[in-house]
Amino acid sequence: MLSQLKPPTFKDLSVKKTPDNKQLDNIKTHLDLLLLALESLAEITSDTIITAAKHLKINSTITNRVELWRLRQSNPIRKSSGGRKKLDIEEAKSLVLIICYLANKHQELIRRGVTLLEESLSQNQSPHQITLLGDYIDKFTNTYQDRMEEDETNYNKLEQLGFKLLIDLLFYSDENGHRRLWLALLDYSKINL
Amino acid sequence: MVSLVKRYTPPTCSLEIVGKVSPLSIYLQKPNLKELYFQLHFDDPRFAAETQITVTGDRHLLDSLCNTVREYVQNFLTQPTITSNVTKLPTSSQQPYLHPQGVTNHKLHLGNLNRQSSPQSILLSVVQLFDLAHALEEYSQEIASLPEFYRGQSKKAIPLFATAGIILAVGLTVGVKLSHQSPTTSPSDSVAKNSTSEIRPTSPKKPLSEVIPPQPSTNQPVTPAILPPTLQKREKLSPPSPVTPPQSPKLTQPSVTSTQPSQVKPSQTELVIIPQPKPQSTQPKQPETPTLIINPQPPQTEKKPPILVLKSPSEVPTFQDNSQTNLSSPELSSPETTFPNDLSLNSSNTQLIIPEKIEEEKPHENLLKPSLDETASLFDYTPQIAEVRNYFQEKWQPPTDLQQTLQYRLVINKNGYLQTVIPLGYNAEFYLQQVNFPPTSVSFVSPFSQSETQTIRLVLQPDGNILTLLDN
Repeated sequence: MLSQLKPPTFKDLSVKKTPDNKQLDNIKTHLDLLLLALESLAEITSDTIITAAKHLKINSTITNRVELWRLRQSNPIRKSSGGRKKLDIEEAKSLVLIICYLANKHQELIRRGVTLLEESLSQNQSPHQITLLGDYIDKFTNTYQDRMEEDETNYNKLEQLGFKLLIDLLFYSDENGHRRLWLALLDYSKINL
Repeated sequence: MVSLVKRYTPPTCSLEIVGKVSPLSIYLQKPNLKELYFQLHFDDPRFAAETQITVTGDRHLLDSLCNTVREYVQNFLTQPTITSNVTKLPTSSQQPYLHPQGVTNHKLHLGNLNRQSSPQSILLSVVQLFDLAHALEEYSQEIASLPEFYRGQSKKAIPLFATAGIILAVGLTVGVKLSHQSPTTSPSDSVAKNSTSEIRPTSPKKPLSEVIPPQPSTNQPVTPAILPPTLQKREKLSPPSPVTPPQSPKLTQPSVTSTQPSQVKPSQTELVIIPQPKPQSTQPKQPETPTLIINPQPPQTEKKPPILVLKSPSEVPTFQDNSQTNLSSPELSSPETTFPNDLSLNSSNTQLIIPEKIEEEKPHENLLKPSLDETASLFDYTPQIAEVRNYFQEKWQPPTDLQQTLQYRLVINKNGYLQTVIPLGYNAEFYLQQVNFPPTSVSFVSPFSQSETQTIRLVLQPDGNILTLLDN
């Protein structure tokens, strides 16, 4: 079910009204968390993301690791405040395309993770007992606590967030996932995290 | 009406669309879909067959289901937690709707979707919901892209027509050139050198009369005096309707021979290629040893200039191409058997190069020839083979999702009526309705003169190529 269609472009992502700063902050946060979930599940590095940007021909936005790091640092809940840049709407679109492209590439793995999560919950079994899910949620929560200011966040809430992002990634891995994510971001930006 | 069948088969469900598209859609540049209905099978292999559910409905219900699922998924994605309630109650109790059930399940209420079993709702896992959304989105996108598809088809027809026109124009031009040739050619040489060839008479799609100008040139005063009596009785080039394929060269006569008709001897007006019993030979035939009589006519009837209508070499499929069509005949895959791609006409001496293996062969030895597609139109063993091919070239349009070659065995009775269609393989059976076979009550091809019934293999390729060959 991997996408065989033409690669998504910015034209697929339209916005009627430019989000305000508060909404942009929420968008930045959500995009960074989705990348974090992808990193926790699959072997995704900065180089992988830059390569994806080149494949999608959006490498003018994300040219190198430093640029990528500055983009991700724009997440307002990140610990580090130095080097933070302001994320504009075009950069947000770039990250949307990259996330959905990577999700599509790892769709089978994401699907397996979601299937295992469903099975474990239906059997009243802890997802941690399943290697894939245990490794994923451990890496997600640890990285989250390392990078984010809200390191005092309740572990159960972080776990729920990790699994929710995993499920979301499944829907974003579809051929029109970038549209789904973009619409979700525009709605999501109105909701406080 | 053209059947439209499409299947979307994610792992846990399958959506099958069946509909009719009016042929007028090609001209309207917008598909006129009629009688569209769907079957949605929730056939997750993890569950027993008896618990799997199938729902059906028309396009209205399908579009309603698409919107319901799309909205639900989008709302679900905007929720910050897994267990959020994203239920959007339907405006009507008959409308399908979804709501979360537990942590990772979603209940789809079927509403007025037709179903074979009794449940009013289906419990979907996240993966099932994803697959359902995937199938419905694919359907939505393809329906939306149908106009482009049909535009593409209508554009495709123009180059074909233009190509036919160009080919015929080249043939006429060559004919005019040859009519200016010096008459020093000996009668014996003229058999092979001054030859008239044409698209086989059984090819009704491009009659020569279609390219003949409606009025002959008026600045050639010698024309009426030199024309044979049979032509003088006719109106000049005006009536294309009485033209039958064997007579079509006669109609071309006024326009091409009027300049120097006396220089063309009657014996030079036709191509006579005598059969040569060398079925194993693969070399192109020399003009002195022809093997086929193409369009035989009495020598005295006409003074015809050589008109040769040829396909360009690029259009002639190579043998390697044919081997990719999964034809089972060993002859088709034989590397020794080659067919000359360079049928060429030298305008100076008008030599026609014809392969040796043409006519005097048993039917099973001719399995190769019809498979050569366009080239084979000159060398089909029986005219019915070309008639079948011509019929499907007009009627059949490959579905966009077709990936594999379809093969059918057509049993045709002595009178030329289609008797039986035998699909060969699953894909052929699946696309059976889309091929538009003629009714058994309608004459399909011209009657056979020898056998009671004849079996013809029809090969439909995804790129639109059509092959027909005798099948024993």
